[in-house]
Amino acid sequence: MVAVSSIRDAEPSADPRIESSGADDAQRRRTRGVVVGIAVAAALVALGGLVIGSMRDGSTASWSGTVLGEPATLPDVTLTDTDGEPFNLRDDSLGTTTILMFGYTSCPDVCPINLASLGSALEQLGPNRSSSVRVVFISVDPGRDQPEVVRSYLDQFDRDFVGLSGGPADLRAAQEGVGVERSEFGATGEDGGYEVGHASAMFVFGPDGTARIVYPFGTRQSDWTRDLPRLLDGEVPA
Amino acid sequence: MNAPGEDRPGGTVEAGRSDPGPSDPGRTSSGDAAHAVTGRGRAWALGLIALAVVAVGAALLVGMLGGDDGAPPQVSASEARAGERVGTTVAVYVTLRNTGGADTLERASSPDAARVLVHGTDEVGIMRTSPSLEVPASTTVRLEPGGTHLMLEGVGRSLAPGDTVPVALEFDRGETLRIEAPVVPLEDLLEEPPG
Repeated sequence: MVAVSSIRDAEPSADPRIESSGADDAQRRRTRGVVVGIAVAAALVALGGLVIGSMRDGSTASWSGTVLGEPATLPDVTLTDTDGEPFNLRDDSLGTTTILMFGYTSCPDVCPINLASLGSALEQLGPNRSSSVRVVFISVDPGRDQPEVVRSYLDQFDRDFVGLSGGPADLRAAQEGVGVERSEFGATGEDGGYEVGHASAMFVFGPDGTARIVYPFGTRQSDWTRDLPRLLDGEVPA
Repeated sequence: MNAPGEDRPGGTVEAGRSDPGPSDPGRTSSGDAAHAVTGRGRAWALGLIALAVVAVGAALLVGMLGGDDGAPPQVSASEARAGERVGTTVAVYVTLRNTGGADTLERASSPDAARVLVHGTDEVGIMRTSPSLEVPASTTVRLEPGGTHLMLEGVGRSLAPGDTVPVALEFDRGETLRIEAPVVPLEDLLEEPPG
């Protein structure tokens, strides 16, 4: 569920978990549609696992994240930060450990949980360590996420989180450059609202602009507090 | 070690137990066929297989067309929890256990919210608003972070850990279930839910 093709918000449990409790034969037939749906979701998750499996390089036993066989690099793409200033993903991140994620401020629960878990972990690490980490949130919803909207959203989690936005072309370049699947807009509801499917994993780029590890949705604060100090100490995930 | 998705909320999809017991028709009839040796015995075996095939077909048909078996739904809620408010929205998670006949959550409401929606996912994994949520007979449906959940919109009250959010769940056939979801820090939602 971490792979490029599967880092969507909702994929980990595309349906609520349903457990059959020893229904009789006819009842089982009735729930067959549901089971088929779950099987399809499970197949998608498995497919994602295969993709990530093929990307894996050796054991990940000692890391909470998924080690990338092929490291990702920060692309030379310029977006706009919440002060309206240009921010070049590659050049402006050199020398800093960057945790990068895509998301949007109307994101139902995946983005807030990612941001809160990360924010809480950084707080636990203390200012000395957390000051050398920069969290970068790239909005996949240019239509609604104006810089000031992104700013007030991120401030709920950590005032130091960097929020970036850009037009569709720049956003696409950023996603392709990092190596995640393009975000997709869902259907617009009666009230004009819509959701956006997007990569939900968090990439940790070292000061050299290279990411060797990625953290899926579901990464707990305790996973972060265990892994981050090692990453900051320069340990290379393998 | 924490493999991706291992043991994480929203990271697992559990299909129903397949339970291939003695009712497995394929296994039974092939066993009979093995015992049939010659002549009349073979004819009997073929007859039995044909009967089994018809019976299975009929069971399938009944199962698909059957709809409600008339048993009253028995839905109970547990493990209710609400995330802290983000903007004016609050996500609520709950486990719905149905020990009776099939039912559907048709509507949810809360005095704390302008409206409550069911958020599910579409076939390509994009979160969408669902009009309702099916709770099939004899199943447990878990609403979990990253998956299907109840989204409270237009929440005016500032909610902190220690507070609870009342939500009324109106079912199609059964009664209205009233839950009190304790507010949990967002970063704690991924930890084990309360019993």
